[in-house]
Amino acid sequence: MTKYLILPHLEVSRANALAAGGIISLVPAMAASLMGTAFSLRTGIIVEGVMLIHHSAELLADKHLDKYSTDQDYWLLSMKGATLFDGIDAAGKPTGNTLGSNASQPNAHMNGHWSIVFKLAPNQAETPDGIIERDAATFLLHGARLAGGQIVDYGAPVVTDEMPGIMGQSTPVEEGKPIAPSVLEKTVHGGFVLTDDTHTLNEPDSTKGRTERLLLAALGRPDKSTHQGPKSEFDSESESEIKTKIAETSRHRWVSPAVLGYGLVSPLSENQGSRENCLHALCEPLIGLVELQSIRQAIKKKINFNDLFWSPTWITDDTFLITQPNHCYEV
Amino acid sequence: MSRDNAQGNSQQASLFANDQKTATDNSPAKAPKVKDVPIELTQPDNPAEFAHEWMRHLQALYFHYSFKVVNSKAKEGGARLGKAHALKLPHLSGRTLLADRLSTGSGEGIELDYIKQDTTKPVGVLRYWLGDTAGVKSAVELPVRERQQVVDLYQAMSRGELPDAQVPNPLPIRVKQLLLPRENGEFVSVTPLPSLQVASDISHYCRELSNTKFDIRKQLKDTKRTNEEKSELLQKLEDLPRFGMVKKLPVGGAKPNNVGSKAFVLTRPVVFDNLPQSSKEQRAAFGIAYNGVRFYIPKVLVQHYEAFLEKTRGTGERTSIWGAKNVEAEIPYLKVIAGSWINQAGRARKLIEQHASELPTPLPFTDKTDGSRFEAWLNPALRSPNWLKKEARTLAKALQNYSLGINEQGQNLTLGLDDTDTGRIAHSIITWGLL
Repeated sequence: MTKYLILPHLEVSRANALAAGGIISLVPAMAASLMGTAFSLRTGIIVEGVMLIHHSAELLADKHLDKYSTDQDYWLLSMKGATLFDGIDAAGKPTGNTLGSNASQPNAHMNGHWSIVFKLAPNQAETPDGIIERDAATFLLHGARLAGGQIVDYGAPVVTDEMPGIMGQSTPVEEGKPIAPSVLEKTVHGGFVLTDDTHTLNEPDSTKGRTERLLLAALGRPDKSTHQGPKSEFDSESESEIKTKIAETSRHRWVSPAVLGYGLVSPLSENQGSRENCLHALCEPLIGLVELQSIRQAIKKKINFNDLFWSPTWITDDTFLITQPNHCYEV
Repeated sequence: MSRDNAQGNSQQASLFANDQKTATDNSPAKAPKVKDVPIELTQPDNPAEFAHEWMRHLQALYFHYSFKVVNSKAKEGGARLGKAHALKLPHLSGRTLLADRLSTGSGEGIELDYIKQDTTKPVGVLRYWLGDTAGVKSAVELPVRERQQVVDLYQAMSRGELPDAQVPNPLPIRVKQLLLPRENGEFVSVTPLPSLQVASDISHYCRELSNTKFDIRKQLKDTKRTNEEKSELLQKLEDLPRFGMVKKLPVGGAKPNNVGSKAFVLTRPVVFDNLPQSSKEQRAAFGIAYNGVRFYIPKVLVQHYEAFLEKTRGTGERTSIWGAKNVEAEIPYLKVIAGSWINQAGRARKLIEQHASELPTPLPFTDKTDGSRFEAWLNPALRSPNWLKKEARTLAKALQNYSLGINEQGQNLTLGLDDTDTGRIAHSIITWGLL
């Protein structure tokens, strides 16, 4: 039986928001997926997929309205000497008691509040009850990080074999009675799950460039023409139906770019300085689009939550992607 | 610039000779505009040798990706794309952009950047040869054939015809590495580098968008425009996407050109922070949805009511003498207190309506024992005489139990209302229709 490990309400401090050049995104989908791999390595429990649930994220920056363009200007809170610091990093010369000014490298940080669900591989060796939760807690307690940010607080991990929307799992609901909330809802109390929306960029005949398509999708405002809808359509409907329809059409879509893969740009080679003595290559981030959907809306739409787990794949020898089961890419 | 190479027979020429003022022009002399400043051209001694030097320089130091833009203190290194790297995926990256450009057959490639600056072969000269004169003050003039050789090599490299990678061994410690899992349980270490072409495209698009907005705002200031035209322009402005950009990201320290000629495009990344955030209001809406409304009586109202009660009491008395006159005088105080509960219910209703899409339906508090009580607070149509009786009693009890502080003996200081008083207050609320 497939089990799911829910790590609820991870409060992360100073996570990396600059995962790709030119874009600051507050969706650490790749980092969450790689956290699943790190969990597997440390505990020996194989993680098949990772679901990231967004609660809140805040860029560490001051912002004010640009008086000319009505756009926002951000002044990032800079962190000097982000990771490494020695004499070479000093930009200025030491004078008197001071060590000289420190060089600042490009960085952007965010404080975030996410929940993560690991889909554990089925038929793993039977473990006594509670051992997975304890391992998870130990894993988190030992200074784990998400997207480079320190996890400063988290809820009690929960293991369940139930996920909303999976056929055969839902208990029969009596007519007129509210649906009992799932373990996931009870544990995380709502949030936003990520759906891969990158396939919408695939419009080969479009006159717009790839970059423009992505920016318009992520920055674009909801189409007002669809808000009101034709009046005649509502004539025979009840008030509640009309309200539901209006709410559905005017719903704001939360769409954001996110790093969903890496493409190697140099051949894999042995290098003395490589991490863990692995083969090393240079790569570039592959930026995709994700849509954030409310958990309750997803349950209402009867989305199978097994389709919301990201799993890592090498679609070619030099292209690494995290994908969801219903969005597979072929080169 | 070329001043370092300018040896011997240097020859100066003006690209904008025709634009210069003639002697017959009587208008007063003006300072030349920046774009009209003539470019000083010099010629090298041996053009063929110089062109070869440039080609060797391009192959050694011009790449699509560079370490330096991530950490200016890292040893130089980077990678150049090849045609085999072209990737047909919907994602945005240098490799997918290369695939797009190769498929169109326009001959356009991906911009290259230097990984190490060489003052003897400045990038401004290359830009000038590629047809961009903006910001160039002087350049080396090469014969057409040699110049074309250099330009052709650059363009071939940008199209991915000369793939290469320059990775120092051992890898500099300032270069970050990620471990990615392979299928066989092994890992590979990768160093993510940003694509300057992607950043350049984003920067270009946002700059154009900003300029469009600026133009519209300029047109709006035009007093000759009619109100209709202005509302059209305002609508146009409203429909354009809004975005936020970082004012200044430190790439290469204070000077981006220290680490790359294109590095400046990375200094203003676009911020996508339009995501759900847990706000106080949202938390309050969820609190109401699960627990119902938690009514409170503002302290200032209780203080005024206390002052009124003091007036009704004789000196040293704890209880008041209640006649019809006092009961009538009490009503405005009770009206304000009951009004505060009505306002709280109104605010709760508004919050529930605003966050309806995020809240579960039906609202979870309806399952509780006093769920119907809160439902009636949120929906006036559900209020019954029985409900009114109960709520009036609850409000009177809340006043009776209200704590004004703790006395020296550690006892709660209350308004000194007894059960008779609460009965009177509840009766007043019902008969005068205060709720």
